[in-house]
Amino acid sequence: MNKKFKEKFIAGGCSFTFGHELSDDNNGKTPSKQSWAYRLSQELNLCQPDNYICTAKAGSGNSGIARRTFNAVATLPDVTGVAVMWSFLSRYDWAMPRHRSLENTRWATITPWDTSSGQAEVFRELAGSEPQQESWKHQREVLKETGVHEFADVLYKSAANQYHELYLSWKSIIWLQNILEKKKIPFVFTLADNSLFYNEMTLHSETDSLLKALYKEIDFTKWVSFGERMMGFNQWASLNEYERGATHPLDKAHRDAVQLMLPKFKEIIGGNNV
Amino acid sequence: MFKWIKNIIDKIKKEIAYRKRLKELKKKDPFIYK
Repeated sequence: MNKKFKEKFIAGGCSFTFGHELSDDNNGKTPSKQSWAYRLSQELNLCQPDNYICTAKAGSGNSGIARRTFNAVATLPDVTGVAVMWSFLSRYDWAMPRHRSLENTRWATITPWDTSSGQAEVFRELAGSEPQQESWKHQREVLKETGVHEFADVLYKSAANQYHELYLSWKSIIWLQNILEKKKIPFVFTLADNSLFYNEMTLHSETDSLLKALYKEIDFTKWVSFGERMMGFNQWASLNEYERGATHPLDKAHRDAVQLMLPKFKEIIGGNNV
Repeated sequence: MFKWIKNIIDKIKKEIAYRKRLKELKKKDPFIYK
């Protein structure tokens, strides 16, 4: 078979990359073809449409994004490129005791929304969307059954803090970056929100010498941001008043974001039509 | 005698601080369904 037909492009991220709420969203069953990552793979002719591998998962944090992307890179042959949109700090990825309802029978994605506090608030937010409410209800049942719900309460009450989240996120980014470099797979990193690096105007790397040293290990020549101080996709879409669903920018934001990112992507990752 | 009252007040204070922290996190992290 012609090599061109085997080449695979891998996308990593959270719901912004999976494409939740985009026009072809079928209740999160299959990754969207309207998302920035799919569009990018096709604009640059990096793979055949069927060879677009989306490892993104809604609610995923940075440790989970790195784990899933690594898993795809480690197991799939003929990977032509990787693009990752890193997510919010406050999300955790945890290997729980085995349970059939967990991802790969073991992995849990944990966000502040998975705690028992503020459920009425969620239903208010989702008032306009019955499928989202149903999906949320089902998720709550799974969380209770698997023990994740209880763990989320303890985690956010007693252990979670921004310093540890920065440490975990940056360590995941550097880990994936170094593996991709070692495997000589072209890659581009971008981000949903600049809280990954900044607290308002201050860089998190100023916190102490450990974070400063970790920050220095990140190769920013492989990054695309959406504006000053590493503005993220979600911030850029809000700032430019793109139409939004319940919690995500819709198709046009993804379309325009790709055009904005394309020159830098071409420079970093290349492509078969450039 | 008043130790148990102090403990309850401490617990309530911690719970209020936790809820406030969680609210801040949710404000930054817009994800609400999966």
